[in-house]
Amino acid sequence: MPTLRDLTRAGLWLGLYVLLALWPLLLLLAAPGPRGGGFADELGSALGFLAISLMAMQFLLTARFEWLAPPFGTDLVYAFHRHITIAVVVFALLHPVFLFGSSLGMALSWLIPGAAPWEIASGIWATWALLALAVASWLRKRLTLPYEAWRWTHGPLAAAAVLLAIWHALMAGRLLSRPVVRWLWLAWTLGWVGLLLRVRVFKPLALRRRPWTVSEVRPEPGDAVTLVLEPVGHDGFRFRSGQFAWLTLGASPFAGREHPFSIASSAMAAPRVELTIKAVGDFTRGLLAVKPGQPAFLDGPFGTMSIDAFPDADGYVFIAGGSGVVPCMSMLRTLADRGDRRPHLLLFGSSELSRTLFREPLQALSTRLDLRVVHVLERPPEGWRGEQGYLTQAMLDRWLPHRGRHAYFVCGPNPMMDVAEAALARLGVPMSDLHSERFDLV
Amino acid sequence: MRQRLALQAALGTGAFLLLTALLFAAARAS
Repeated sequence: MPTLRDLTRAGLWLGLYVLLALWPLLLLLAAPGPRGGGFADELGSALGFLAISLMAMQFLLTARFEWLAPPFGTDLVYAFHRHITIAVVVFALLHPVFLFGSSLGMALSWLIPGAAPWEIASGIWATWALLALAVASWLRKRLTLPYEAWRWTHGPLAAAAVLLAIWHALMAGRLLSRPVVRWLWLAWTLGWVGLLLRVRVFKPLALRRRPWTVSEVRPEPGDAVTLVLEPVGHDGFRFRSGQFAWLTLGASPFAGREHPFSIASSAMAAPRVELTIKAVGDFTRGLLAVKPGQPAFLDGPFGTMSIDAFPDADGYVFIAGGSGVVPCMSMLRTLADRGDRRPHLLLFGSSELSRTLFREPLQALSTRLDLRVVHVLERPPEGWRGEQGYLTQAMLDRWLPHRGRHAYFVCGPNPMMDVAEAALARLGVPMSDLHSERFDLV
Repeated sequence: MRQRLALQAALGTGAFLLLTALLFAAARAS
């Protein structure tokens, strides 16, 4: 269960978010525009303004501000970004329903391109763009849309949706007739949208001044590869073990082909950064062909999942599946480099022994740390006497420490994380002791 | 479970905003 502290911090975060989202309505109440609308008219307008407000603030949630992430973890900010779209879609669709009321049927003829006057058509196109964005993001995997294509279209489509909606509100809206309200609202809304420039223009500009190079490429079991990256002409960055960075390979950080990956190396080895990446999509499969000397750019570090958030724990428990072991590896390597003497446990699910990541490095770490590694294999080899199948509550019961206050880290495929998080909750592990981050949200 | 919390937070926020839109409309309707 979440602790009171978690809930308070979450409440403050959400309270601030709601206040920012409501600001346009507060502005319209403080400096009222012309009256004359009935209840349905006013409600339709309010929903339109709220939809634009939420759409514009989506750019804040994804602007990679580190200070936005703490109470929850960066992944939950992205999850919220994704789920709040439900509200945006509902508000945007209800907006014409309330405004047109019984003449909605007649207004439907405006859906034919070219049929509506431009101030209305811009709203209709904004809604189409919004629906396309939402469907592409919610169903990306089912539609087998490649991540790169999705990411390339997501930003421009989002900007188009919100700019069209803003234009629609300025041209068709009744409530923005007073110039001061109009300009205040426009500046406020465009301010959020401008944050897109931070990620797509200013960040790449800053990254270009701090290039990296791939100094080593190590093939790993299970179609994975480790890229060793070193800063060129600058001092790189310090990170906490368990964090991640956005990697761009190639001569320009503007290419837009950046991907988030967990750091695998020890925080004590900075500025050298190792990323261990499993080949799952086009980009990651291409990594197997990367050669040393390849220019690269790293935007980071990000993420709140780290042993350093729980320095006083009696020990750390890592529950990992597949490449989810990568951030755990960084934390274990860091602990070993620090000469940590506490007892730690890694429960690690893999498909088969020959495809298990870090088998030998983990063995080596066991000699430097008080570390027990429990491999759970989906398809164990003949004569395997260890754990097999998928992670279960019974397995956790068998291996988890029953004394002391530990910090728990869960990283892996979604079904595994669901089982682990539910099982840990049933075992009475408070949510504040549990850290997990997942990034396969789209 | 954390993911469910994010969904609940988003839906709760949406519901709250809908309520404020109703209040806004009630306050302004002629």
